Amino acid sequence: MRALRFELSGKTACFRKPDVNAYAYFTYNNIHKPALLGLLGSVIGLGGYTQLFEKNRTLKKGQLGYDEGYPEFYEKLKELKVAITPLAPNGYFSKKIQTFNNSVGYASLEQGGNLIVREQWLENPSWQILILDDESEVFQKISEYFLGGKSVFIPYLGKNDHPAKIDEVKLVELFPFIKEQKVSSLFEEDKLQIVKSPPRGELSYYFKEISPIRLNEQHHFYEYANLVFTNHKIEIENVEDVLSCEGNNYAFI
Amino acid sequence: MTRVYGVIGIKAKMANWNADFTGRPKSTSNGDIFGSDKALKYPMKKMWENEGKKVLFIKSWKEEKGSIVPNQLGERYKLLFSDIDKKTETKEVMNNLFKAVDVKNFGATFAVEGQNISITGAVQFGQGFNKFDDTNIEIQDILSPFTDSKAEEKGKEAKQSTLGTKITVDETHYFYGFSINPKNYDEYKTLLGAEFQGYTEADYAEFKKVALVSATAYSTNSKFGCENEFALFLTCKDDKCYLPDLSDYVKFDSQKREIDLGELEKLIEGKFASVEVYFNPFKLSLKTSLDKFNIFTQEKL
Repeated sequence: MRALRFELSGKTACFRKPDVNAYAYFTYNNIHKPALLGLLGSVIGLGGYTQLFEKNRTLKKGQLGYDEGYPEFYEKLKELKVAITPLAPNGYFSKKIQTFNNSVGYASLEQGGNLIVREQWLENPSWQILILDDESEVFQKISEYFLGGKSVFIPYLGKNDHPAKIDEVKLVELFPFIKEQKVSSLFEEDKLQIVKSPPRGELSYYFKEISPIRLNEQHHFYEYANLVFTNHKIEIENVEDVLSCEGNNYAFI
Repeated sequence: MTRVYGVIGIKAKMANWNADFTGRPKSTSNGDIFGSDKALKYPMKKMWENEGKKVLFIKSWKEEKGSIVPNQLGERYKLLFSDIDKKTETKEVMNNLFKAVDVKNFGATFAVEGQNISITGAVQFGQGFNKFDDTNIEIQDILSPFTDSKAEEKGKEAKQSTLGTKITVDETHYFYGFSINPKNYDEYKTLLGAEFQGYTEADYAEFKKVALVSATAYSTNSKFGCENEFALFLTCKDDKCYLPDLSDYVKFDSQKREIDLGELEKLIEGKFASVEVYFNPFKLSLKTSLDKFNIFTQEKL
């Protein structure tokens, strides 16, 4: 089996959490699967939420021609399996809340017309991404674009003022899961169980975040999973989606 | 029009290019100073407005019940174009929006009742990080000519006028990476028909002009001392060429005030049709084999 491997990084990033919008906007610590698929879609030129919205603009739900499906990028890419590894000590990126003024007076019905936006940003985020070769046409296209340094739209990290840097692109060979080893990428908490005792000669860390994992079919909301990043070994193995590359295990989510 | 990538360099000397809510220059948690994309777009929009071009997303005022208040989005639209309500055709609104030079370049989020339009702009900026090693933040006390009105409210009589602060930096050099992707408008070409040309060479020329001079031209109390000192425009050979944020590859020597483009040249090798580098030859030196231009006169060096 093969995978497309690359490093995704940037100076700053913001993957907004949709569940809080009072006082400040917060970001997830890691790029999540729907956002990553969106980035891949932008590289090969697939349509997103705006295109779906434009298509349905004049129509009512249920009317002839109304597209009840996913945005194009998600429809085409949702079967892809990806492994995401945060490249930071213990998997944690520093964050800071940045404040903006929007004073044009159009942004809101604030008194005085001044909207204050507070947004939490990731600083120097960087991930290693693996995309499993499922022998689909769309995987072919993605590898062709990544390896050839091409993109239709210019990829960014969450919002368009955080450009994405893509480098170290390579096709790599994958091997079966290596027993008695830790998993080097984010994995779903309920799929793998870890050893309680900390790894020898290392301080243990256990990073858990509730992350979007897929889009809801009806409303396109996020559906969530607990993703874990730790240096503990795996105890109970249900490892159909764990593969290794260059001596490390990766969970494909 | 093919894809363009570039860098815009802004120098601030005894000035404050982009302040946060405490009045200090915006920074990340480890103290790196940066300016937001908004800070750069504002002088550009101001310059277009001063030239009499249609600029939609800028503050404008109206009189209401004896006081002066900012316009709402719908009112601003009406001021530039025509009446708008729920029944106005979206196609017509979109066509009008693209007539505004700021929308054509930077895109728009247009949320007026019955119209919900979001246009991703062809021109996109990153954050402009300061590359000068030795920046100091200067805090000066300034005297206000008036007594404290609050003292009077408390029933006391103020005997002296109040103090304020002005915060500047001694020196910063901000570098913004940007990209221009005309493909962002392809879907509007099909939506709007033959009338709409997408992002054209003329739009690019308009952008290039403000990219070279707008920060220098814009002088307020805090922006006096902010200048365009560097700009790089790279026209791609291939329409689908991907390049990362180029400002990341600009090396700045803080001792010599020298810009080294060696790393950037390696990155872009074989990927461009043309590159132009503009800089201020009186204050900066530049190490590059690319075509050099004077940023003030725009003459080739």
